[in-house]
This record gives sequence, structure tokens and C-alpha cells, in this order.
Amino acid sequence: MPEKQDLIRRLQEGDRQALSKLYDDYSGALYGVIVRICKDEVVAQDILQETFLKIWKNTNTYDVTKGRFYTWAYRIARNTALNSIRNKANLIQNEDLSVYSNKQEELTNEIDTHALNGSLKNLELHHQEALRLVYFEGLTHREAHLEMNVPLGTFKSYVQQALKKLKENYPSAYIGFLLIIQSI
Amino acid sequence: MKKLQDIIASGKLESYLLGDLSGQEIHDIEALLNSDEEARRFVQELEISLEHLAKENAISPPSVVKEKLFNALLDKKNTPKIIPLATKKSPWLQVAASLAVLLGATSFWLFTERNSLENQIQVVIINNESLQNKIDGLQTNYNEISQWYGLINDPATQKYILKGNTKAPNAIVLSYVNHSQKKVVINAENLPMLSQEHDYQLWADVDGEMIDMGIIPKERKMIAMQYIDSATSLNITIEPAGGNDHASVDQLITNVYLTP
Repeated sequence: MPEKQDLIRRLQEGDRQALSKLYDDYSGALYGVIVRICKDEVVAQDILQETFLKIWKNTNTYDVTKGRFYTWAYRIARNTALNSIRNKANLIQNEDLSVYSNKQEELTNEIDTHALNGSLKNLELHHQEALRLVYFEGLTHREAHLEMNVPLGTFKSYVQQALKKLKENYPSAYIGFLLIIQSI
Repeated sequence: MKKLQDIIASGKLESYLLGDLSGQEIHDIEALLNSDEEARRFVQELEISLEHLAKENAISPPSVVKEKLFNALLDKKNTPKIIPLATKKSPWLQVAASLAVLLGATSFWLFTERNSLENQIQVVIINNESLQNKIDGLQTNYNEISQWYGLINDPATQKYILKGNTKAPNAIVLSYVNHSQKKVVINAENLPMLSQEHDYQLWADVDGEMIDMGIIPKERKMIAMQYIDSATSLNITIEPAGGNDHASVDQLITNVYLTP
């Protein structure tokens, strides 16, 4: 969409209003991913802020010809969240594990990170689960197939089938519209 | 390149979108997307699905996050790496900037060239001085040799050979005496080497008294000595370094009588 490209051009020129508009458009989608990866709202808020700071500071590395802005921002959010979890896990290795397990229970938040909305709900449960693990939990295929306890090949075909079903469920006019816009 | 269906089945395209691939794999997929319309379309649809799913499952963050974000932007360390847009600049500004760069580069080049030339001139001056010194030295030598040549070939010049006595049996000194020109030149090439503490000294015998004709410098062949009137003989003694006021006759190594 031309106005979106204009927004990104303005962002790359260092326009804070452009960042503000992009934050309004994308912070919810990104926060939804970050919360589901971190499972902790306080941490997720810091990571969302860090994600947008990285977007702001490294805006020059976003190449509009290589994909959508959301995809680029999603990668930053996902990596930032996963790194934060890994760092936390490293810290915990040096602490008393029993204390940590108690803390985890205390941190149980109001958001049910397993609950997903929209077109995902129309999919079969194992397809939902496959997309949830990869897209919303930040797991790689290799990690996710162990989590679902199915062979890697089977897991990959779950993802493929789920995506195919999703596409069928979208109005084709919607996809066509987005693709036309994308190519402008 | 594998068939597109195989690549899709491998999950590589999703992993690419999720940011799970390594540098080389990213490079391969991007090359595929550049060359294959169908692959590009597939990835674009995946991106749309991903974005659509995310928006359907969006969670609104508390407004305090945005406030904190924009406060953090005020920190200098959070300055973005901005892409300057060329289209916004005046073409004249670019021309002026180019000229300024060109002028700067030319000035720098001229400055270094000038410095280099100055250095070269210094080297030439030093070389010149060194050559001049050599020429002066050669001129002096030439003048001396010319004089000696003239003296030796003068029919009035008499040649005397001083042969060493038992103290210096191998010593031979050639001497040329010209009474009309009042000049004495000796060739001390065949005097044995002396230690640093001693010098050879030449004396003229005048009425039984030894008159100093000068110290014979070490490592020189032809030497002009002091001419003494009414000398009856030439004598060479070994003296303490720097010469002596009175000849140490016991240190005489050679002498020769002159014909008047």
C-alpha cells in the first residue's frame, strides 16, 4: 500500500511520527507473539519496547524489496524474545531450581497464551497446535516436532497443510488484493 | 536447484520468514526468490498469512510501553542510522558538494606534491654540497700534485734517497729539494708504520744544529716539508706523537747529506 511505503520511507528518514503510526499498527500483533513466547507480561512489555527501539535504530537495514515490514519486525521481536528466555535460562542454571519453579507459578498471568483466535480456530487441533508452536511460541521445526511428539517430516506436513487450509479459508480476493498492493 | 515443491515441503521457506536460517541458506533462498516467480508468490502468501494470523491474535500492550519507548528515543545512543534520500537534495547542492570534494582532493594532492618536491630539493641541495666538497678536495689534490710534478721535473731539483739504518732497515724516503724555489717534498710511502704514541719528524742539520722541518704525517705519500736555508743534511727521527722541539738523535733512523 503506497501510504505504508511512504510511512516506511519516512521512518527510514528518522521521522518519529512515522514510528508512532507503525507502533499503533503493529504493536498489538507483535506483542501477541512476544507474550506467547515469554509467557510473562512484564518481560514481554520490555521486549516490545526493545523491539521497537531496534526497529528505530536499524531502520536502514530493512529492505522493502525483500519482504513485508511486519515480517522484518516479527523476526526482530521473535529473536529478542527468544534471546531473553535463553539468557534467563542461563541465569537460572546458577540459581536454586526449586525457587524458580515456585516463581513460575506466581507469574501465571491473566492472558491464556494457548488460546488463539480468528481463522486458526477453524483448523483441526493438530494443525492449530503446529502453527501455534512455530509462529507464536518461536520454536523451530526441530523443537516443535519434539513438543508435539511426532516425527519431523510429519510435523512439517502439518504446517504445510495448516497453511494451505488457512489460505483456502481466506477470501481469495483478500489475498489477491494484498498481493497486488505488495507489488506496487 | 530442487523443485519448488521439495523446497516448500522442506519447510525452508517458512524458516526463512521466521528468521531461522543461516547466512548461506538465506542467500540461497533470496537467490531463488529473485529468479522464481512462483516461489516469490508462495513466500508473499506466507507472509500475508503470518501477518493475518498475528493480527487476529493481537494483544494490546499497555500504553505505558509506548510512552517509555518514546522517552527512550530521546537518548542519544538510540539515534537511528538514517537513510538519506537523494531525491530530496537539490541537484545544485550535489554539484557543489562534488566540486568541493574535487577541490579538496586536488588541494590535498597539490599539497602532498609540493611537500614531496620540497623534500626532493633538499636531497638535491645536500647531494650538491657533497659533490662540491668532493670537487674542492680533488682540486686541492690536483693543485698539490701539479706543484709536485712541476717541482720534481724542475732541472734545479735534486733527488735524495734516505735509506733506513739498523733501527728501520726497510725504510726508504725519497726527498726532492729545490734551493732556488726553496722547497722540499718527500715521499714517505715506504716508512714503517708507527704506533699512535710516535711520529716521524724531519730535521735539517745547520751548522751542527738540528732545525725542525716538520712532522711527517701518517698515511700520506707526498708531503711538502719546511725548507730550511743552509741545511747540510736531512734527518728523520722517531719522536713522541705531536713532534719534539729538539731532535732525539738516538732515535735517528736515516739521514742523507745534501749537495749545496
